[in-house]
Amino acid sequence: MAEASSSITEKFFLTLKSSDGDEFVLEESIAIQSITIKNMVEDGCSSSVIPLSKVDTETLIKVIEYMKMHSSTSSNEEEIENFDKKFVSNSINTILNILEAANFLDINNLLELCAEAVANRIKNKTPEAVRKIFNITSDFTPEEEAEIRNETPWAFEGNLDHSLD
Amino acid sequence: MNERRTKTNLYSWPKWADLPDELLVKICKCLKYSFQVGNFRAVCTSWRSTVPPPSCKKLSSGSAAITTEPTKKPHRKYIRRLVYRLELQQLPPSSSSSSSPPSSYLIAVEEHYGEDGQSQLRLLNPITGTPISSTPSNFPKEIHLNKFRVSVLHKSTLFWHDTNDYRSNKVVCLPAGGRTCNGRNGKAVAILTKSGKLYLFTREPRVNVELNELMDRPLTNHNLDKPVYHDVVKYKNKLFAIDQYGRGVIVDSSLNVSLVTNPLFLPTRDDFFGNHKSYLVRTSRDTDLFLVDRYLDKSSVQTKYEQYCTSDVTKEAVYDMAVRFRVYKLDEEEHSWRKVTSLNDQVIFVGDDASFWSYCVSAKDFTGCRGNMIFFKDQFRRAENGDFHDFWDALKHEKGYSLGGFHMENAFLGPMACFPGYTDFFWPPPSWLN
Repeated sequence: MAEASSSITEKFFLTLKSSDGDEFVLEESIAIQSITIKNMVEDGCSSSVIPLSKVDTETLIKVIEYMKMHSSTSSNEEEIENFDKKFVSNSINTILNILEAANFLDINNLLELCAEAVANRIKNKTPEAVRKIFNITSDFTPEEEAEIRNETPWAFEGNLDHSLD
Repeated sequence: MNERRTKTNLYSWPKWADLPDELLVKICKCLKYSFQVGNFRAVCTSWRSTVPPPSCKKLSSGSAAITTEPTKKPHRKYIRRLVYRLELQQLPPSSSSSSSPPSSYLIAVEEHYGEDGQSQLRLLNPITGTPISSTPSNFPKEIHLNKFRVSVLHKSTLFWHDTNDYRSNKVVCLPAGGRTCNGRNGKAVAILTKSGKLYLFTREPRVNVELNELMDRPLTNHNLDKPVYHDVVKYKNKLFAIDQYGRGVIVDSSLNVSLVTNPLFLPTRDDFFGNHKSYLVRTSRDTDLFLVDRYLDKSSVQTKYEQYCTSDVTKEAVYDMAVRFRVYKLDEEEHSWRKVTSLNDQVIFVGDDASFWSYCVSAKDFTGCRGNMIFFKDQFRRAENGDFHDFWDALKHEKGYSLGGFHMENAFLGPMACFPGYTDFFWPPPSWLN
């Protein structure tokens, strides 16, 4: 494969290694949408495998899917839009994993996409439902609770969206 | 840094509690309304400490709060008009007696974006969509929106510019996917003028075209003149426009045009043809699209000048007077409008001819509200006549028009005074608003 393509324009490939130890070979022009990877390439660290200790295999597959779609010259705007729409319909846990990965890899478009997706999921939810999703226990002191109640009386009311997706 | 936080379930995803601050900030920036930010800050201490409290948004009515001095006006600006449902929530201690439903109230506001990007809210008449120029005595001077649970029931945008005269256009924007948090990069924009011309714009590629120029092919089978457009809305992520013949046109973000309904009004068939006005109204989540057609009295052809010249002062000045409404629902499969005899729980509001103001709400969202109604701005007779002076005068304030209601069930049309008890959810204001 490398032979065929190198005859016209030489393509460079990088190997990315997930935290689970799986390796993915990716065209450099696609991978450098990640500023983190781009910097590594420019610093000459790309000859061997690039270890991504903070990104697991499942997440890395999604990130690579995203980068392929967003770099490919053949995909038109509508395709990309549909892809993004489908992409954000992943479970909130997947989205949060990708959000963290995008932050680590410094892929701004992906970061924005995921941040907005998370915001959309939580915007109409009660703080109680959001806590469940994020597995957070309320740690406010009674004084703080009183303050919040004063600031936003409805924040403790339960009839917003309770669903956990 | 958050020792107090305990993790409830070790087997799920405990790491989200420790999401880096910069990501929390990014997520919170995508929340549009202060009540959403308020909820965000009520989750836990670390979330609370990452995000500053939302600016306490006050809603002002009356001329004192917001200046609209002509000299200070920028020549063009976008005005976003929103309809909110405010809900008064009981605090938890008293919620044991949860038998009484929460009180809710409808208000309409407009949001101006100044040159500095700051937005200001101003109270609107929910029926006409125009600013209430002075605070009615029974209305609070300021409403602190943070005190209530706020739901957005409707939003639409006007593009307003004054060069020689006051002109405003309706703007409908198809946002470009999910790539920007603020939706600023519209993909396709439709601008409807008061004269019924519909212009379409896209950014990439840069296109600026009048809809009629794209209509040649779709209209070859229709032996009708080039249409003027009565309304345009965003429906199921596409632009949906309606012309004076009742034909629905769908335009997607790549400006592909398709004619989706056959004409509803034909010049030869309908006496009222030249004298009607169509509004498009979507129910929440785009479940249904209604065409609300207002038929105007024949005498509305008469010009103001002619009326002025008639010496007969007893003659009522009736122009733009509604005589009846008809409502149709879009049947996408049949490519047609189906006449409806009942709106069920829906309540429709329409402004006048050129207000670009129409929306509907569900009576289920408001305690004690009855559906199957249309409220509208009209010209029953001059307000100076004094016949209909009632509590509405405070709200409408301006002279020369009146507000009316149309009950779908018995097709009864009359001024507001004929509908006591029907309007409690938007007028008069409840005592808890203060």
